[in-house]
Amino acid sequence: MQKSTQIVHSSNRDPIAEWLRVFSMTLGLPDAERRAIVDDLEDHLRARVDDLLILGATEHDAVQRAIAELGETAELAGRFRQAKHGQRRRQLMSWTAIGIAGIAVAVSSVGVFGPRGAGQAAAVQASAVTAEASVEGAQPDHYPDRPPIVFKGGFSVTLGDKSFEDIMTAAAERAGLRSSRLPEWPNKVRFNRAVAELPLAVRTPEGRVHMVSQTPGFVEERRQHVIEAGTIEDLLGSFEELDVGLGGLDYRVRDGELVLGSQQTLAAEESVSKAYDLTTLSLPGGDRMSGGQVHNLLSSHLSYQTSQEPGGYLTYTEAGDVVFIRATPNYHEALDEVLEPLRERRQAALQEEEAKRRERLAMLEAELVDLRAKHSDLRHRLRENQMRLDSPDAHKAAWRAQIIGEGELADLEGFIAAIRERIVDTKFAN
Amino acid sequence: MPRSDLKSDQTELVVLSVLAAEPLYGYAIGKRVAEMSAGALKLGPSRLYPLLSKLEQSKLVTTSWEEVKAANADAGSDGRRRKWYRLTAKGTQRLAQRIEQHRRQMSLIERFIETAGPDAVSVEGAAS
Repeated sequence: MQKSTQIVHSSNRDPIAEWLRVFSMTLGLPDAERRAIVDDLEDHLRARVDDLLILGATEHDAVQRAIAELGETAELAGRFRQAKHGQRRRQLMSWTAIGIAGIAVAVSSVGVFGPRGAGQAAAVQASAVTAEASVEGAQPDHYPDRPPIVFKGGFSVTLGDKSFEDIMTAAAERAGLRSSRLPEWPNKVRFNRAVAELPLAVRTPEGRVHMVSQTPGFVEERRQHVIEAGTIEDLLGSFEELDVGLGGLDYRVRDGELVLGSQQTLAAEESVSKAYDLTTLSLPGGDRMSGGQVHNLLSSHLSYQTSQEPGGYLTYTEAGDVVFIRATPNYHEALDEVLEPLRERRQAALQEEEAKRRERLAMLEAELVDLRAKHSDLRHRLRENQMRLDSPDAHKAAWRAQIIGEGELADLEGFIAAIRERIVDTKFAN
Repeated sequence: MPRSDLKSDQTELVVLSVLAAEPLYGYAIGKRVAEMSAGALKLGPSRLYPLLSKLEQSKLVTTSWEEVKAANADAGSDGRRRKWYRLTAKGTQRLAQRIEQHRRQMSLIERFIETAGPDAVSVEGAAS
């Protein structure tokens, strides 16, 4: 359904962009999905503001009201995550159902988080199966070491006074993983709101993450708060107020360990540098690509689709005919797919050039043979003529023919030298 | 007119019905619901957009993007993106199921109303 460009009225105000920026950070979804949601909401907000302006509201009031109608930011983000993750969870469950026959882990029916300590993880009333062990054909969404982790029967825990670390250790154990490695917490408070305004805030005493209530009225609510999750993504999405910085909270499974961190940090850890030889790439016209053109290609084609996915991390360095790109293996794979036709085109251009060179060489060599034959013939005739000139009755015409022939011989030698030079150039042409 | 809050399955029915008539973008869907119900049904953006996201995930609707520009925007500016939603065949089937489900519920409730008899009709007025 391709629509033509419409002219609409728009307030185009910064508060909306600012709200969308903050909201985008709270979504915790892959960036392509996040972008789509943000764009949809931006259209809504600007259209709503325009309507309110028509109804007589001031611009300031219209913007405030339009934003307020969207409700509490974290709640809205949660609804989007639920809409997206709910579907994924069902997919993962169906994959699990296919693959877990005979491997399902026994599920304990009752359990409560006990006092903090080594045994509490075992008390969590959930069981989990790791996709790498039990899900046949599951598709890791972006990275090989980010397999789906499904908690069979669900993962349920009462928050109480347990720390994030307690919960994730339990989750890791139930997923059959050794333990969880916690991220570096920048201890940020989102939305530029004061800590006291947050129902659940984050602090980092000695590197350990606790969720604590800053508001007395919320203490009870916090103690009774139950987190329920079907997958590890659900579980991470439950920590609404945790902010690990760029890209939100994400996970990996490395060497049997659950690793937690911001999407960008994790992606940076697994990013690799790869050199791309510009001389192997060719544009449609057959010209070689410049570094700037490769960069433009990255910006226009790949950055939106690939580097913007969770953990998108990219550095670009140009050095002569080589471009060094540091990115995730997934990004490199996508880039290679884009570059492959350019490489093939370059290869085809080189093959065509080589064929032309060989053809040119063959023609030159044939011409050289012909010239040498003419040269030999002329020289032979001049020798014969020379003998006639030595006789006392030599005619004037014979002298003239000799002079002309010698000139022609010199010309032929010049042609032969030129052809030989062209042959050498053609043989060693790049 | 007093406003009514819709249950989630009713909300889905309403949105699918609106989209069955024609493809619309998010803000237009909300407006259409308000217009058709003369303001009685309130479908706020905080419910509408996550629902649309869910419908898209479930492949009940398909989407496409349109670029829209402000009237006062520069000629070279990019404008903003507008997402259009259109009902799929699967969405049409779901709508039919929802309508059938709704009619069954209404039919059941109707039986109770009939059992209560004509005097019960005046209860609301008496209470107020």
